[in-house]
Amino acid sequence: MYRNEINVERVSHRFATGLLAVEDMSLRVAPGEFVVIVGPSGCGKTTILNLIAGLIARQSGKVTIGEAVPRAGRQDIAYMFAQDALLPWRRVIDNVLFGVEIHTGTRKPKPGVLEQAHGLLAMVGLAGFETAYPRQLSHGMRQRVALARTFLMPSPILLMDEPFGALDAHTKLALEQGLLRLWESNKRTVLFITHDLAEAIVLADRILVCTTRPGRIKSEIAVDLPRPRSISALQNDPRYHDYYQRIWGDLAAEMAI
Amino acid sequence: MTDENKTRGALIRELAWLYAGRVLILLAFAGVWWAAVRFGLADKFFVSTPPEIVRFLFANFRKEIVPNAADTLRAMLIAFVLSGVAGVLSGLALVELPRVKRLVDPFLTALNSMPRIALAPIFILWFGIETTSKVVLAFSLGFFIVLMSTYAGMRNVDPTLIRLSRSLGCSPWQQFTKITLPWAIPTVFAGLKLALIYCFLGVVTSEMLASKVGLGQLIMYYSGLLRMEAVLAILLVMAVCAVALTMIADRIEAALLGSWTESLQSARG
Repeated sequence: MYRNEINVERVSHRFATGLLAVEDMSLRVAPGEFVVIVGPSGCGKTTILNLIAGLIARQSGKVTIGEAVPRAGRQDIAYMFAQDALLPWRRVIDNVLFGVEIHTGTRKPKPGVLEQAHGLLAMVGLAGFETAYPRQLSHGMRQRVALARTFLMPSPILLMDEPFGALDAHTKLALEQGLLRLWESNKRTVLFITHDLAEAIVLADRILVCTTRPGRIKSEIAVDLPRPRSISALQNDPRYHDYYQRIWGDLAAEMAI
Repeated sequence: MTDENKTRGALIRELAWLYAGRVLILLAFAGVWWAAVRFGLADKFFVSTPPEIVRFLFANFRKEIVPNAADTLRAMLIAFVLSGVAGVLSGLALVELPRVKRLVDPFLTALNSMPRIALAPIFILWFGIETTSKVVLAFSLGFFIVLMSTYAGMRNVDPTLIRLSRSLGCSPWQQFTKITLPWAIPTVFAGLKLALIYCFLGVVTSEMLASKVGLGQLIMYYSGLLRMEAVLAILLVMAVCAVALTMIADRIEAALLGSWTESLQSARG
């Protein structure tokens, strides 16, 4: 078994309120694979990520990362949220370095890491904003800083919980392209959550459609679009629209529209 | 938008207007006051007049106002520093020791809701009529303000940051020094600014009840003599002191935190 493989087997999870969030869910993310879970809100998607990250305790079923069980603060997992979670008192560059700083336990970055941080900021289109404070940035720019922070950590596994969910359509496309660029230059294992089907298709190797609460995997679709992908080129690609049509039926049934 | 987008010239012009406007308000107020007395609408015996106040200030500034104000401010500063140190430390302790917080909560509420002025006679009996009892009364006001704001600031950390901290595996010490503490600083600072004014109030109140020196004692002395112009002049000095203290605190806050909080404008004028 590979070190950076995620396995979730027959996991159920009930909240303290008695609400059954996830029921009998199983999924596997292969090393270097980009898997997207798409589903209506409240289908327990975040619960699954929190279980994998070890932020909440497992109740039933089995979760493994490689051969290990989840534990909060594992350095091989980087977790990105829908909120940017930037520290307002730190300049952009120091926010990007924050994850690495906690992992290494020192404020002084190892040789090359600072250059890497600048490189990542340039890749997400924020060159020149290194010394700005978060309050001076737009929502989309702040989320790019969070993206750079996540990618600066050398963690082989990325968990992404609707990281672009709160952004406007245009900013979202730009950030999706930025994420593809970063991921294609260094293929890590990604488990990405969204309720946006278009986003799922352009990013994923494989899409898992989730049912409404209690969450379960309803269907699974391999997205066989060539990489590297250009999001704007995909808009005119009939295969992209085919996928959209195919998955939309499944998803619409769950969203009850 | 913030001041960052304006040119330097426009900024200076705006500040000039601001100060000119404030002076005008003061002059208009003094003018109406003077006219009211001059035309018999108000009794000079009760309200005095602006020129008399100015005359009193000139005549007594060096030998009376300055030494008394110095004494008041000195007591206030001692009380403020003690409130700040003890308030922040106790606030941190209560956050770190939630069981202690639960234990002492009703006592804290009781102490904090007690009208402090009612304690003043006790303090005077215990600590005499010199600096100590003034400081103790002012401290009893300032301490709780700083304590509460420190506690509130530390407890209200953005839950997303706590989630980040957990997912990154921050140690308790890392979470404290790198997230909770910096997060609380603006709230602590707001508490300190409030405590500054309340310490001033506490000292003056204590002086009014019993003291040998200080602005509060001076007010009691002159109101006993029915010297309204003196009482009002001393009130004016107190107001100027309070405004000056607030402005200094605002500037320190802006210099320390202005770059990352929204409080940039508070430093201006």
